[in-house]
Amino acid sequence: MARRRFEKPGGEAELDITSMLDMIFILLIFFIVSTSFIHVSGLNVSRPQASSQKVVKESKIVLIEIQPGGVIVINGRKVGLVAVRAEVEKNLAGKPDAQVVVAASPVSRAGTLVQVIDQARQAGAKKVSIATTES
Amino acid sequence: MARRHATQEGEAELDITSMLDMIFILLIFFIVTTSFVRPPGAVVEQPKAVTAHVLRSSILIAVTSSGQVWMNKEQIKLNQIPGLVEAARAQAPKGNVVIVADRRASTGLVVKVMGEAKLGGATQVSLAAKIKSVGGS
Repeated sequence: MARRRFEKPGGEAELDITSMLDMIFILLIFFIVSTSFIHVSGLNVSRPQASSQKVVKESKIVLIEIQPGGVIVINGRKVGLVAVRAEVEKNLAGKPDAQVVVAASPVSRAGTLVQVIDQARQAGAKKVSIATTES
Repeated sequence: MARRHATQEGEAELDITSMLDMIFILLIFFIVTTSFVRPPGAVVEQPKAVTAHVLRSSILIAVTSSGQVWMNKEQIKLNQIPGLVEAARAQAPKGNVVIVADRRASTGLVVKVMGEAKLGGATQVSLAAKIKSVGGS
């Protein structure tokens, strides 16, 4: 006790760090092994659910329909994929806090769906929901 | 030279300070970058989107173009999704469900998976997409 406590600064005070080192190595190896460099990116979407379905006024939504062949219809008008953004922008201008609903046919491609949602987001839509149409 | 041939009784000392510094830096790097995201295990061709953003701490479910659903490196059935999502959420309560759908996967299946994930208690469901830079084609 006396030796340890009253060690002079000039003396060689030694701390046993062996066990700390062991632990650090174990931690290091654990983190090296368990690290997975997966970076996921994506779009948030909401889905109107049957149980918690709220009645949304027709005037408060912008409906984008995706038909089986990938044909996009907004307000009864066929539009190309690149025109979705402009069309949604135009619709949102009249009703700024409207919700965009993408009604996709179950047999349409998920890629088309993502592109349509992307276009709607670019047009300034804050909330985009997905629904499927019958058939 | 004389010091090199220190006998066993003598105190031969190795300066491990810099090694320790390095190990600490490595340790901190790995602690910070570790994300316990479990890969779904299926190869999918993700669509690209300009408005996609990086999602953190996610539970991944893959939907392939042939209509298979994968999670935790296993092919699963639709009715297994709620249980698996619940179990994953117990481990990572902040984890959001991300559906990694192939470009050519059918929307019907993607929406079904989404519904099942919601049944499992997922509050936020996202669709995975690669980030496309605005200028790039």
